[in-house]
Amino acid sequence: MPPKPDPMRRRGVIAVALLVAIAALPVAAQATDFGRQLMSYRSDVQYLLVQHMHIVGLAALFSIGAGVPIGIILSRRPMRRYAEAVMQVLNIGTTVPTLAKLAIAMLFFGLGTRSAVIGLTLATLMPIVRNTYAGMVDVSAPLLDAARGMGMRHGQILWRVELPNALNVIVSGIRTSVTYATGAAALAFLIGGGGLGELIFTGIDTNEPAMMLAGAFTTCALAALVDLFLYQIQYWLIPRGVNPFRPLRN
Amino acid sequence: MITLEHLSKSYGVAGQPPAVDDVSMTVQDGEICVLLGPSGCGKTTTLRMVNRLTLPSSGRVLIDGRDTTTVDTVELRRGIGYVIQQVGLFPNMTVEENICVVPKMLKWDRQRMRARAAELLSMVGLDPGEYLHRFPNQLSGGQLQRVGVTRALAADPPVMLMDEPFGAIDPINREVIQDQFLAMQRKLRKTILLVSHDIDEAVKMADRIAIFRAGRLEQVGTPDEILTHPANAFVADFLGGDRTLKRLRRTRVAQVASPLAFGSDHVTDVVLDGVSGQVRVDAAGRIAQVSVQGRDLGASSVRMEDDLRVVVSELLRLAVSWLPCVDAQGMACGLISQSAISRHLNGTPSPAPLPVGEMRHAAEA
Repeated sequence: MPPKPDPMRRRGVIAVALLVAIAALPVAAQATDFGRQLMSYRSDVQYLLVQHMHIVGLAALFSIGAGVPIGIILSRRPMRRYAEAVMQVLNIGTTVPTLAKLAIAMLFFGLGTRSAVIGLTLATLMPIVRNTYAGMVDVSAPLLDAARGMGMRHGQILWRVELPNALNVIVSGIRTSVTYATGAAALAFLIGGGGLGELIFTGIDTNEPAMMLAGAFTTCALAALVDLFLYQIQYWLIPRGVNPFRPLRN
Repeated sequence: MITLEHLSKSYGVAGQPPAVDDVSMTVQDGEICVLLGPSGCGKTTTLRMVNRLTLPSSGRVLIDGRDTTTVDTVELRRGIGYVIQQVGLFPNMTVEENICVVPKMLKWDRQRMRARAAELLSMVGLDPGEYLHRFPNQLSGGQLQRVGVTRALAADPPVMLMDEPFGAIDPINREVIQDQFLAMQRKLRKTILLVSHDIDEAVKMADRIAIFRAGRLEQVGTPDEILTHPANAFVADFLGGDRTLKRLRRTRVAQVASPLAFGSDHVTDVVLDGVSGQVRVDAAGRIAQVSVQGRDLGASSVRMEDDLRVVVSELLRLAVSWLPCVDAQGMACGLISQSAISRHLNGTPSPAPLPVGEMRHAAEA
């Protein structure tokens, strides 16, 4: 019997198909005048894409590197009573628009890539902390009771029981926020951070749709790719027994 | 051997009595001791103080004479099997990995762990080839609980703590798993503390029962002692008005039945408790027909390994005062009567000599 199609997997296939279509678009468009205009930004796109990925990559690295440990620490017993307060602050923080966060970062760190990375890190950090905390707190009490009763040490409980069982929620948070950050990084241009936003905003300002679209298409494609990549991480990294993307047959 | 000495636990809430109040008792080696009582009576708290998941406010726990506070808590727990009602198998690990959690921490080599996991699974009636590599989410409730028990047994701890281990299983599976566990225990002879709120389970499983109320130990004794002589009104109430019937379950037919050689292909006239009847046995030694006071009961009989509850139920159903018994091979081998059961319940165990009548060859009857 063929296995049932996995909805997430199908989504992955659709994403790939879209990417191929996007990649094929310029080739097909080459024949037209507009297509040729679009393709004329190729070297700009290449340069800005690297810059864009640089900003997103650093922001992701910092927010994961800080957010996951913060979430774990907040979920520890002695910290629980402060955790709710911290979560409230983070919730309020999440409602602040990313553009405002970038502006605040610019106030403190001036124009440039550094401010963009810091602003984006702040924007990505919050959902990651929240998801990590929620994932850890949700690990069922009997599991921890059994683990302690069998004589596992704190570190063993963390690595062998809590993290593997919270991983899906944690990585979901990472996937959502990093994918979001990939799109939001287009705003980095506004505080002098560079990236694909440069084409988009300049295209809008100078009324050159081809330039704007060259930037927008690429940003979309990159965000889709990042999402697909993080989906693969979820698919392969989350332990088989608790992996919702690879349902077990009964 | 587990010894509790003046064990108390108080959560220090003003106006609230301690959760466990000055409990002293001993569990002998190889014995199943059931902590029994209504919810909130402190039985689980008492259990958890043995492996120090809950720390006592005062008093001591000794295992084989050693104060548990003198041992590293983690080492202590690794030497004690622990089973809980919610099972608590780790869903991220396979059945094999779950079973090997403690052996792995004790640094067993891979071969030995694998062999042990397979051995234990077969012991609880799960085919290792099929189940070792499954995940907990692929198992039924009964299977989960069996694996839970297996996991606790993995490193062969001499002591086991079980907190309502069969509580979450449907009644039919519960009986099966309890029987299986008792069969294992007869071989393994672990020293077991088992928490339960189910009197029937306690009577069935326990070598000794400790009855709790509001953190205090009300009575400790064998199921028979407790059912026969409840120490006070609370214990009597808790055990229920049918406690004599509950005792029936503790006794097998073989302990009460009067053995009798029927002889194959014979009809035996029986007069027992003043009730006459006939038992016809076929050439193979099996019961062919039973009649009591002229009533044909077919091939009715009870098995030597049945408990007395089954016998009483059959006696009532058939409205008779005695029945023949068959052994494990189905051969006719004795008689059991209502009066013998009564004598057993009243503590006069010796079976009265059988007033057996004439025995004739089947052909003559």
